[in-house]
Amino acid sequence: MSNLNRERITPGEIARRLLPAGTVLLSLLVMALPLPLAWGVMPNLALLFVILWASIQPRLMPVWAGFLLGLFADLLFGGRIGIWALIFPLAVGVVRVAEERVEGHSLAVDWAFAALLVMLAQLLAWQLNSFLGSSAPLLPFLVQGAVTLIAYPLAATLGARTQRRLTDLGG
Amino acid sequence: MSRLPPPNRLRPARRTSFARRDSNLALLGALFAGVVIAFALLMLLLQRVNPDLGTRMRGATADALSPIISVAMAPVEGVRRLGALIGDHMNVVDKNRELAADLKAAQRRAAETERLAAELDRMEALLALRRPERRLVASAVASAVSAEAGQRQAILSAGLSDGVKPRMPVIASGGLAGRVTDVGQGASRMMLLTDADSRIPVKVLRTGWTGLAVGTGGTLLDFQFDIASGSDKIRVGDRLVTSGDGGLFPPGIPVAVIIDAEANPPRARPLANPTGLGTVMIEAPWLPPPSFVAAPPAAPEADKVVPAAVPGTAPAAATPAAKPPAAQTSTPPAAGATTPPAASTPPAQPPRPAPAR
Repeated sequence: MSNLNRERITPGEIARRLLPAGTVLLSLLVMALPLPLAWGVMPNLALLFVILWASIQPRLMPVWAGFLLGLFADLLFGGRIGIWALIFPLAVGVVRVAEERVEGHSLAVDWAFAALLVMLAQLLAWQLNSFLGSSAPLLPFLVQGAVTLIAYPLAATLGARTQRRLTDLGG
Repeated sequence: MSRLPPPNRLRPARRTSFARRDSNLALLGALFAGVVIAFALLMLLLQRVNPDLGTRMRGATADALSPIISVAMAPVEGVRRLGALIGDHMNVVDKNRELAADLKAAQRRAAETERLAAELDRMEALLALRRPERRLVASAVASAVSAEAGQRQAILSAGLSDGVKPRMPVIASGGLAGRVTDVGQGASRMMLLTDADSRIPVKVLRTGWTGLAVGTGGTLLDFQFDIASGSDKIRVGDRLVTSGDGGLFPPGIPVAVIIDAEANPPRARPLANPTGLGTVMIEAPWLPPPSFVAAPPAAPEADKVVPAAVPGTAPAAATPAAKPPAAQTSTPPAAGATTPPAASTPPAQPPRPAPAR
């Protein structure tokens, strides 16, 4: 095992390892952009990528990475600290448990599973917000969840394509 | 077959080291995941108990985030400016005509306002009214951060070193923008008035009704108010300005304009565009929180004591308090005449024997 682990660390390999966290960070920044969207509701791209990477590359999106990314999200969004730091690792954990039990992938099944997970996460975010004394209404969270679901195939394609390219690059 | 010695205390059976190590790693991983999640939960609970904790942490990160956000924002801001520029050029003639008409109307109104202002000054001087003054603390550039559902915030380019403190009102060129929530050394974070947690005391300029402009997390505000009269109604186009209630926001700052009066509660559009605030002013809270001092009690006022001593029978002044007030009704208007004895009696009687009963 130790011999197998001792691969050559090429730049491509480093890029491959940092890719999942990098995409999540990037999507967090995109989410924080002051885009003049109606309703101001951006798809929760970060959550989407966390779910995607936990499914495609479980070793590169461990639970603790979810926690750190969530912590960064909380600080970036200026919300109550700990909400996404709790939801991201939970999502990673749930995906991992599900992956152990289900064989094979198809877009429809993955999409449905992600839909369930995203909606639950949005509800949890809303609940935690009210638990911490915010009076945020439920509707924006649900709208954001719905927009996120629509963005799923795009994000999945993007994630898979980037991964393929980087795998080629790494040899 | 027996190449390996039998396992003993120093050399335990090394069965399938790959599998064992894998299962150990998996177990460790699960444990670590549990610890991480528990830590996140702990953070949430701590904030529930002590909300200041989160504020302090976020204040510390505002400084670090400010440059990231301003860099990320540059292209968006550029495109927005370009769009505005093109739009301006397209309808410059129409705009000019419109403005000329507006200017004429405004000039008429300004003349009237000047007269009223002069009169108001005179009245206030007569009343010796103390009007608190607005105080500019800093000017800053705001860049909106639209991230989480329900939250509307912006980063300001001024912080503690400029004198910015939490709670301070932020005013943009169009109208009220919100308030400062977290402060870092050179940058701070503000809550926009569209944030779902934002409540701003406002009044309707036309009717004088007071209420709250409540953020919804979307682009519009809810105007919550108590109906003050049955004959009037909120109309589309009614302007909401700050009422000064609560002492945080100075009164009279434009906040929003009603765009849907039929909805319950009525919906209003903020006058300061939350995604394009640009340069803003940060002011000190309008009324500083009062710090009460122990002042000596005021001396009893002569004219308040007068009705108590009304009894027309001046010789009986020693026991006026015991007398039933009904006896005094015979000479009610003679208050002025009995003032001298009243001045001598106060120490002997309770200050208010309730003569009106």
